[in-house]
Amino acid sequence: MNQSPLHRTLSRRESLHRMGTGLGMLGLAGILAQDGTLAQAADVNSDNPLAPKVPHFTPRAKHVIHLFMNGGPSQVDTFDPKPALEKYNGQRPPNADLKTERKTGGLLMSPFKFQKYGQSGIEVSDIFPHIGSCIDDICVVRSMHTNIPNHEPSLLMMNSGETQPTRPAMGSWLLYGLGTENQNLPGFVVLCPGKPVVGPQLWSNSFLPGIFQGTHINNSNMEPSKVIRHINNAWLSSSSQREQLDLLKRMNEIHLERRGGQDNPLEARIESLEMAFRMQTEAQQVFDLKQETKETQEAYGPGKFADACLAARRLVESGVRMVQVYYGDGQPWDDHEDIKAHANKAKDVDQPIAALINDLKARDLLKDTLIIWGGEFGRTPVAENGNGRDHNHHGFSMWLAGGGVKGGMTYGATDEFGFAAVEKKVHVHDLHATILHLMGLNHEKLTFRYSGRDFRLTDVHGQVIHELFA
Amino acid sequence: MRSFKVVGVIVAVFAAGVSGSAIAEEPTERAQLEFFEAKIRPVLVQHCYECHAADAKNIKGGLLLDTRAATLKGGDSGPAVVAKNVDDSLLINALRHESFEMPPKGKLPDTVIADFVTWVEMGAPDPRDGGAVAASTINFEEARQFWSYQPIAHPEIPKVQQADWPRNSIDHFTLAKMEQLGLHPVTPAGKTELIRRATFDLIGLPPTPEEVAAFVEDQSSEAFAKVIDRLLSSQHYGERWGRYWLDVARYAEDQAHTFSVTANTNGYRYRDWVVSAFNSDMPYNNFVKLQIAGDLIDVESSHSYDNLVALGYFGLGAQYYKNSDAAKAAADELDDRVDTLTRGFLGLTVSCARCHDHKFDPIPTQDYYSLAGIFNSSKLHNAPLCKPEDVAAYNAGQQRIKTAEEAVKKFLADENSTAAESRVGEIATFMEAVWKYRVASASGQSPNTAEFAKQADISEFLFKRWISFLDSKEKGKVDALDAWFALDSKGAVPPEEVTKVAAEFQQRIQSLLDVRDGVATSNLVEANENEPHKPGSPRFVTPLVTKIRPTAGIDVDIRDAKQLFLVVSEGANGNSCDHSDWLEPRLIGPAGELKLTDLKWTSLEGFGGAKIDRNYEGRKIRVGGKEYSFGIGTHAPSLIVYDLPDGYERFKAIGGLDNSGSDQGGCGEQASIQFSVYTEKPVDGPVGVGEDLLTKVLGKDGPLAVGNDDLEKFLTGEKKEQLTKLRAEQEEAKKTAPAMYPIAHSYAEANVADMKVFVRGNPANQRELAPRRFLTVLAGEDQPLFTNGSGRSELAEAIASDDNPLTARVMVNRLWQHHFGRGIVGTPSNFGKQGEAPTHPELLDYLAAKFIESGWSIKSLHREIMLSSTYQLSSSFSEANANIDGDNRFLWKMSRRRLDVEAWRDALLDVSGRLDRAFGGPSTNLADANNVRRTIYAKVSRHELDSLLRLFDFPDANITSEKRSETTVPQQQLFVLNSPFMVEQAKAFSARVHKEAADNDDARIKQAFLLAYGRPVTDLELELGLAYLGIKSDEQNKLTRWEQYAQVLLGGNEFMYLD
Repeated sequence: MNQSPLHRTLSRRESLHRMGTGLGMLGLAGILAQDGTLAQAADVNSDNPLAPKVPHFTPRAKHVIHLFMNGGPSQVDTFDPKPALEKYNGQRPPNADLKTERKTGGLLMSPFKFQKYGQSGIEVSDIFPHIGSCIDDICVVRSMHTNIPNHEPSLLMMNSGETQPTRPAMGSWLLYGLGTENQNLPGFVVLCPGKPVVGPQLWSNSFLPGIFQGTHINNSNMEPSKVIRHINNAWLSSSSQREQLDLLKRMNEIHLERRGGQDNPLEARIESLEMAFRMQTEAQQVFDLKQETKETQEAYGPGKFADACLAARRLVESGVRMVQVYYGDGQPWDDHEDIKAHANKAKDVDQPIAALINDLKARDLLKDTLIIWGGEFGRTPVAENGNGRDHNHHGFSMWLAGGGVKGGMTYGATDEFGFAAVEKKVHVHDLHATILHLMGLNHEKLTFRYSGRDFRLTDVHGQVIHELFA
Repeated sequence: MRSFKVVGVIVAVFAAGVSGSAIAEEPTERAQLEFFEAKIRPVLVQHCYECHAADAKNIKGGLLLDTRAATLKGGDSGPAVVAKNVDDSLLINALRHESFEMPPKGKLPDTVIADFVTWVEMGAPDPRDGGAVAASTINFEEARQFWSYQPIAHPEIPKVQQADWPRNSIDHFTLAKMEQLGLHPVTPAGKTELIRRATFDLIGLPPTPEEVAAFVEDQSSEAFAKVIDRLLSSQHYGERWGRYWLDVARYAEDQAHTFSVTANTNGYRYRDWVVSAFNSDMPYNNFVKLQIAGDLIDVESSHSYDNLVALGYFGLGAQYYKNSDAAKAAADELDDRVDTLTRGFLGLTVSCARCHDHKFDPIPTQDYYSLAGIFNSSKLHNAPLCKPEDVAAYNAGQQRIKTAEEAVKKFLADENSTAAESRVGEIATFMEAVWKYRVASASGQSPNTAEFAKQADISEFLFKRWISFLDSKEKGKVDALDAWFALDSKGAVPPEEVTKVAAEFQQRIQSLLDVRDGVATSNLVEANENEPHKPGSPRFVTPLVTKIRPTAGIDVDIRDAKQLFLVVSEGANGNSCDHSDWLEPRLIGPAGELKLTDLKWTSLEGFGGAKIDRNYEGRKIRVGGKEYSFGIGTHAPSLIVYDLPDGYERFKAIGGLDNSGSDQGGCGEQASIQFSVYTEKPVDGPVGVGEDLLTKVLGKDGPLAVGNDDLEKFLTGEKKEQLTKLRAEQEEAKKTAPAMYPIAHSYAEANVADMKVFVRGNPANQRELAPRRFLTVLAGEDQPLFTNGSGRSELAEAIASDDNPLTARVMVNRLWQHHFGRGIVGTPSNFGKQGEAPTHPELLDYLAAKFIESGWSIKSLHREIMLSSTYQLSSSFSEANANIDGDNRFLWKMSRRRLDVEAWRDALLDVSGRLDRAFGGPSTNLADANNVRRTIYAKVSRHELDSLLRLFDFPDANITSEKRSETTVPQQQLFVLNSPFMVEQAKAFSARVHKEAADNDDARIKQAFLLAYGRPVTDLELELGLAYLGIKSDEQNKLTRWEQYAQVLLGGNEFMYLD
């Protein structure tokens, strides 16, 4: 269906699978070996753990794009309007428990106005007019909560379901459970200009095999020849490199033949070298945003976050399983001093996110692609340092779109002031369970035996929130 | 009637264990108790124990909810719980907010209340009988029958049919198994293959062509034994085998998180200790003991520093982020210790028992906390590796530097503030001079600041600052200068008017100083004679009190007042460093003068409490450098309330910012507070704080201040000499201070205490005591408790004991794994039920027994393993064997292995002639292209592992690793094809071959094969090579044809995989 140059070529393994029905794999390899085409059959026997796998049940989504507003955006200034803040602005109602770790002042009304958008009439802050225009595709969860009001443990929790750096990231779990569709690209890509706080542990495979680790792309500079390490050969022309690789391949084949012509790891590496050669072209193409039409580029607008959103669409379109897009280096949404500073960041993300939703929709990819928006926690409705807000893990908002999620709805609620989730509370574990479910995985069955235990992304927790599904 | 019913139900529920129907009842009871543990106990602990537990500070309503009996008995209002009777259970009533409203902070969620109802309906099952241990259901006697807990046997050497095949006993075990399964060992490895295998195996580097040739030529029967001995005595042996251990020790030099991480820059000492321990063939039991209790063993010996380094096994352990939920983070750290201890040394997954009894192995939760208690009684410790005198000398040196630095700082600060204040009288002069200067500029002249300054007899340096300060761009920044800037908008201004504005401004500063100095008081509350005092509004508010103006006089009329409310509020800069004092507070009137400190306050609120005649920190009150013996020290925000005795009309005091706050660097510079006095409960906040004019004019950015750097220019004569002298002393202190002494990231004894079991791993929910002792399954139910300090020395002995069935087996298996690619037990850190069973249990026992008999010598074990026919098999394929045992679990051939990243990178450097073989020392950076040290010396990070290491399956150092995964991904091949590192090695390799071989490609190719693969080139390969080199290289290429060829040889499978 998709004939774009980015469209993956059917892997040999897959084509062999298709033509090889009824033939024992070993037997087929034997025939090919006699045929002198052994090297081409190299990955028949190699049990490629990244090959697409059958999920537990029919998935609603095939790809995930996680737009990570690192630092923790405030719910009451974005997707959870609270008129009571205006009424009690500056006060601290005596019966309300609004305590967090640091000293905070009275309630602080949002400096932003909210208005209703779409058919659903869901209220969205004025700092997100473009996202507001897509609200009928969006499911806002207003009752998120997590364990700890500090960035590092909460970033780890949102990514790995544990506050210590001892578990694999969700993207790694997805690769482990589902593999990835394009073997010429990494299956789990993390875009961040610079690095979020905590850093690489957020996309770590931890105790899962290294093949499932996330690949960090520093999109400070989206230069296709630089985005993936060593993607480009700076010494040889393409034809000379092909010559060099042909020799290497031939020598590896001689090496293999001398060892009886059958050895999975040796064959896998021969194939992997060829894959790397193809990846040089394909990965550079996928990050070459100039291949997009002017209209598309303009729809996303300028900026690193816009580039990352567009790259995310191209990656997903090329079969990448999970793309995570961090807003920026460090923890930019952490507005302790003045919550009005949210507006600048919102301006950076608003148009690109709306463009991403519309673009995926236009390409009929939104139904297969789950978009997740949110931070590691929310912020207090009370003021800190005058006009800022402190960390708050008791209640915050996230939203989902596409990938089998019901648009134009809100789920759950925080209290009168937007401080704590009170209605239909959704813990991060529940969100993880729900995401895995959308991807066709039972979070209780996706386990990995390590250190004598069957580990899960959701540990011993997690409830799938079926009400969010379309 | 009611009480009868209760007793009846209780008997029915809790007698189940002794009744005849015990077996049938048990599962239900267990499920019920689990319900209690999951749903009820956590809620009680979290929401009720604060006021209703035996150890509560203030037990409310006579009700205890921390035991079953107390809960049933209830408090002042009656039984809290009546089993199976929801209506009569006051606890439910209170949770529902019917008569009582509990917890007082707010109603619990309906689901929680529903759980309590369910619980009461099921009869309120409750195991809390006052400290008794919830019985573990583990049958240890039965559990000990599992193979790994059985004592190490001395199995008989099996007989084999193919009697000429075995070289040593190992072969009898392996061959017997093969014969049993119908397998036949393949042919032995060729000599070139064997020496390459042995060399990589023992030192992680390829053999040199000379070593290969010597071995091939050596026809003696000891030829291979000689190779093994040579390699075992190489210092590179420890670098290879030490690294395997470092995987287990999850060795790293930092922590995973970003904030407040101190890098363990001395971590490399542990790495080097491990390497040396392997090189010296330290008996493994000692190796174990020193890593657990090195600080407690042999402390007087010359090795005692090394012993402290050995503790890096724990000393370099995880330190988690503790800003929030520190209790959980601390428990997680203990888990890191327990996990690394038990999986590393014992092959047991004890951490699985943190929240509940181990689901598969005989490890009760209590055992987990018995071990955790040992670590909880120990602590991380940066141990000096030198005599205490050296530490003292270093500290003294640092103290001297600090003192000298402070002397300079103080001198400058004092000079600066006095200097600025001494010029207040010149303010008007400066301003008039600026005016004239501006007039001159406006009229088109280019006035010279030096001349103007000279004319007015003022400092030119400060004059320039005044010019900027009074520039029209600054309009609006200083309210008190509104009059000045108003002059601007007028046309011609008569000089008298300028003089008047300037004089007024100067006077304003002067009067502020007077207020500060107590010469005058300033009340920001403007008393309006026509308006009566509004109750709840302040009577008196001082201006802002800051470092530059650390005092403010207070004088309040209290004639009609009954109470006195003394408020200190922060002055809009946050609360930091706001150490506040009410200096000399006293009541004055017909009754005489009464020190307020002689009265007792009726209430006290706020941040800092209050201290009589002491500052916030409990030390002598000091404000503006002056000590006060009489006053009240507090910290903003604070409120102190007094009932006023009759007979007094005025309250007088001075508000002061204590030096303990203002001397704290930048924080002290910014500290600002405000004192207000009320005579009724405050309703209105203090009136506007106003601007901090003194800081603006006299502060470090003000026009009268001179920065420390410029101050020297203003100093003359004695002062200048004084500063020069202080500076010289500072330099001298720096020069003479001894350098930092070496330290080890070690481990030490801490407060010794047993832990309690954390119910479901929750530190907030603790149950029975877990005395410090060893694992029950290994030490028995009646084992003695650990009493020697933390118990680490006893723990070390228990693990390193000859009688421990696991320690030797686990280590022998690790060695086997690294020689064969797979352990006899395929899960080297899990010898429990979920682990794999040994393929050769008798062989494992034979080796373990041998290991112990040899005095735990690792090198002897290498020798024995490598001298076996099993080790010396080729890696040839055999279809017949493969059909029976495709995974080669039964060792009919040598499994082909990929080199790990260390050996592969080291070999690349070695073959290209660039490897630096230096031993030990601080870690190096692999990202540095010029780094040619062995890979073991690269920095290992938990936060961000080097990209090369990460790419090639180096384990995550946040957790102990038993074996490496071996993944093949295209990104690895991109490194081979495109990385500067590979290109560098290719260039160097090509250059080396050109240097060493005769001047023709034929000879070069031959030499290249010997170097890279340790074997002669074949005709086909030579032909291919010559053909490739014969093609003309593309002109735009930046590598020669030979360099391209060299890269192919280095990138080949033969370089990466070991037969």
